[in-house]
Amino acid sequence: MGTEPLLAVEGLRVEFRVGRGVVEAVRGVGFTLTAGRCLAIVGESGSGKSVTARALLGLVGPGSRVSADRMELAGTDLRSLTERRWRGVRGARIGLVSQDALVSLDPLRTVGAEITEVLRNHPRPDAPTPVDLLARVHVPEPAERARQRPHELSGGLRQRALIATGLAGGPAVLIADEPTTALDVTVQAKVLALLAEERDRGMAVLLISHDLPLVASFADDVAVMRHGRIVESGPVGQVLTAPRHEYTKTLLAAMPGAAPKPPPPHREHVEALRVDQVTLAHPGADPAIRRGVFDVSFALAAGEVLGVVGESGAGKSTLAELLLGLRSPHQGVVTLGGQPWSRLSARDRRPLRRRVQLIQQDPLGSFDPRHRVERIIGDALPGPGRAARVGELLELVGLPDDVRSRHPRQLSGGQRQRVAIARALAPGPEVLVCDEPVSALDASVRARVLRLLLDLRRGLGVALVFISHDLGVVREVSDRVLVLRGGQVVEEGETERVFAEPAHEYTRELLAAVPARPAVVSRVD
Amino acid sequence: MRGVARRVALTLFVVWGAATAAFLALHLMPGDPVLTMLGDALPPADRVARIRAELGLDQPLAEQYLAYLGRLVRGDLGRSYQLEAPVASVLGEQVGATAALALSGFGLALVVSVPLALATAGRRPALRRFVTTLELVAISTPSFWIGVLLLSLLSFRLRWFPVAGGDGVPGLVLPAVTLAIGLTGVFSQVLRDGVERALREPFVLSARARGSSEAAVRRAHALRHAAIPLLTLSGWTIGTLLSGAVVVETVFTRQGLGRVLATAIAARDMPVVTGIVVLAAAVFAVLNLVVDLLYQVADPRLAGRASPRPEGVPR
Repeated sequence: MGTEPLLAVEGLRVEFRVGRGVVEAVRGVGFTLTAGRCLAIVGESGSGKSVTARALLGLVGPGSRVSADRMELAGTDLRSLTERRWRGVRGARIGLVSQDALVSLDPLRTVGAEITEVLRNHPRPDAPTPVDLLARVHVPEPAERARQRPHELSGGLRQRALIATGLAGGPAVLIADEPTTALDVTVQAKVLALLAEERDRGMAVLLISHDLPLVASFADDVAVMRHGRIVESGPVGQVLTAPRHEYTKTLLAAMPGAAPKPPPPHREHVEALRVDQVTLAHPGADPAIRRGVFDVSFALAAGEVLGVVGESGAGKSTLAELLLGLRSPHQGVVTLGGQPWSRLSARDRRPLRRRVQLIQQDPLGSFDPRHRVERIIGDALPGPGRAARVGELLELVGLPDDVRSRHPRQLSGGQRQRVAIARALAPGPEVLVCDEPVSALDASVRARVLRLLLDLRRGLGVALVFISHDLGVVREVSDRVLVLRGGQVVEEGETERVFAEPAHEYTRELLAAVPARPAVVSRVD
Repeated sequence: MRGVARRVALTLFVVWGAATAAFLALHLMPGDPVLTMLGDALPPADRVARIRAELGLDQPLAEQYLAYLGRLVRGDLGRSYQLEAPVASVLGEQVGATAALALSGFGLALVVSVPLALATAGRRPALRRFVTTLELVAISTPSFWIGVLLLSLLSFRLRWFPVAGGDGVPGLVLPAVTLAIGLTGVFSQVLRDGVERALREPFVLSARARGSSEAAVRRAHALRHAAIPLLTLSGWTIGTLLSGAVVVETVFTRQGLGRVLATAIAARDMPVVTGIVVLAAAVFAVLNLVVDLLYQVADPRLAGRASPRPEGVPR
């Protein structure tokens, strides 16, 4: 491992022509990558971190202008490459691993064909075969997997296959752009271990991420990016324990668990919702894989926050559909405010529907894009006094009143989620089912939306079912936690108890897979 | 296997439906087919009655319908009133000419539109604008006008191609080109749209980051994704063409189902009309089956699903 940098960047600028104007996405960024080390660039969406990564591959896209004082890869000046010479760099000297292999690998081609494409672009005498490469990233039965397509592989396996395409050309630098974002926590940990293995073999890794705990557990150095600039950089330990820049401090404070949790409000125990031995099995192609929920029971008190955690396929979405009365269980009963909710006919359910409302991960798809916010919220309200009530709801979720005349596309992700919350509150529900409500949001926005949800339950006494794959977030908001696996409840209890002394093996596994928050972070104030 | 059986049943159902609709149309149409057939101003009543009995038109409607279905199952489409020949053999004589025209026009359009779409999708803005304008002109120009233009220039003036009829390849060129011009406009628009959509997908960035050239990215990745909407369109196009390209056949005075149909409708020759309707329904049903199977070849994710889900639509 030499100390000589493999890749050196100084004064990198990227501009995009938008209409008649110019948007500066990257404004003078500099860093170096060294063999056997990992540099993480951390930032929220729009910070310019992904554009920086693409600039290193000459793939910023049409309508852009890239300039730099220096951009050098082991003696090659990347600033003046022709398209043909760039093709010799991409894949062979710098590899790329993007997020979500389901869409980052061509869904119509086999995994083997995707790897072969790299090998064919960069022929070399000692080239490994696709099967060798799949074996290198620890894909079991590599010969068989090479003949399969991404949708036939599990999330973890296809992410490994994507990494194999990044490694196939034998690059010295690997850019990993949010490589674990689409994955379940336990899978995330394994994929990170794989990247660490490559780093330890001497690969220079550039990790692009929005996820501070992940960076803390994996990277050697970190650069915090905001508005196209690196505001702070240095060894991970130093930046996270003694942040100098205000923005770094804000990011650290927004990490789940960084802020002390307000005590749950005291109120009389009134049951809002009750689930009794409910089973709903999805007929699946493979009878060995059971999908659905099986014999699930729990109760939800008014004003309570119940966290539901589980990995993909655990039955979280099915449970949400049952609570919302969108599907009826095969066995068991869901009781809502004393009424046998799941046994009512569709007609009898309708007047009760206002009592349970849904908040989704990304509400954009559930808003009619032609409607303004006023109508999106107002649709759920009775005619008289509607305009005034929309104003109250906007105030309740912390949005300025002029938002009412805007279209959903003109809002930021955080504002959209607030509109979704206002709409869910409009009919005066007793229960809010929140399905991954903050998963699409940046850390600092996420913290504010979570705070809003907790304020609402305190102020309105509404009960929350908080469904998430993110244990940190669940820990921060929930009074009680339900751990789902394969459609069954494996553990249930007070949040602090479950996180401190998990009783079930699976819960321990889930908790172990969460990237460790550096203990030092709690010292930050 | 169950899927295949269901589709075959569905195909039979469609053909039966079309046959029934044709039968009902025949009997609901005003006018007496026998009188039309005889053509005289006032044919003798006993002759009318005799022919009516021969054709079975004096039976109750339900019995006529059952007899008609029975003949259909045996492959008997009846006799043409006008041409004095079995409908099956009338159609058989025309199918070859129609298929040659349909397939050559379709093939020509495909061969031209694939490179056109690949060359202009998401790049070369000036050329792209020029080509899309041409496509719009091609789509919106009526095919009889294109045909007349080609005829007057290439046949009458330059004498490169036969003016009318003409057997074999020389006689096929102009009609096929006339058909292909409009189709090329539609095909290359659909293809370009599909390629451009595919080029925005994340896996294209992955392919470029592997050092693949622009041409390779388009050929190996984007084109296949664009094939699905084109496949849907192709099934419909071939089906329409196989049931007769009336206008082009008339302009070039070619043989073909389209002209036979037009003549039969004008002469109220209902057995021929029903025959063509049933044939067209069968062709469409079979093409649908073929297209459905091809979907699964183009996109293996669709295997085992009833109908293709458009790209990018979440489950």
